[in-house]
Amino acid sequence: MDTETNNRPKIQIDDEIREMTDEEYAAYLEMQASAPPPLGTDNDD
Amino acid sequence: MPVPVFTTGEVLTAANMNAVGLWLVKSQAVGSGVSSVTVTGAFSADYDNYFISYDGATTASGECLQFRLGSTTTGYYGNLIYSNYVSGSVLSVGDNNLSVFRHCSGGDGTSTSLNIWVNSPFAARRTYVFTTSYEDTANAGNYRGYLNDTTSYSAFTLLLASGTITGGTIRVYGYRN
Repeated sequence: MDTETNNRPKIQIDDEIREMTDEEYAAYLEMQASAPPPLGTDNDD
Repeated sequence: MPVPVFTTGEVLTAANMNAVGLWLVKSQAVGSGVSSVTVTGAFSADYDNYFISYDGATTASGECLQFRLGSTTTGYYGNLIYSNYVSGSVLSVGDNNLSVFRHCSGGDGTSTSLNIWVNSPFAARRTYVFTTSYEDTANAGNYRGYLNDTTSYSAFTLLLASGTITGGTIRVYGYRN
C-alpha cells in the first residue's frame, strides 16, 4: 500500500498512503509558510 | 408503532426504515503518520446534509485538523468563537478567503477528535460547515463557515498545517432528506 520515493510527508487517499508529489509538496510548504500564529489565550494562568 | 422503540422479532417496515434519520455512508481507517487524509465518495445526491466524526487519533503536534472540499483552495470563510478555560473570556478569529476551513478539531499534542456538520456539499450551491470540536491546551470553541462557490463536491480532505496524525476512524453519515 505504501510507496516510498523520498522523505516528504505522506498523504492518504482512501486506503492508499503515499508520499507527496512535487506539486503537493510545494502547496504543503506554502501552507506552512502562511500558517497563522497560535490563538491568543487572554490568560496564561 | 413508535420509532425507534422496537420489540424482539418485530418486522421492520419500509415506513420504519424510512424514518431512520442518519445513515453511515463511509468509514475510513486512518493510517500511520500521514499529514492529510482524503475521503472520496463521501457526498452524493442521496443526502443533502452530513455529519463527519473522527476519533481515536494520535497527533505528533498540537495542530488542529483543517477541512477542505474537493481540491478547492480558495474561498473559505469562517469564524472561530472560543474561550479560555481559566478566564472564560470570549475571543474570536476570522478566516477571510482562506484555502481551508481551519480550527476543525482539537489538538493538544497527543490526541485529536473532530465533529463537523456539512450542509449541501454535493448540491450546486454554497457549502456550509459547523464544528463544535475546536480545543487546545488553553481554549475551546465552535467554528462556523462557508465555501463561497457553487461547485458540487463528493470528496473532502482533513489535513494538518504541520505534523502528522495516526490511527482512528473517519465516519461520514448522511441525514435522510
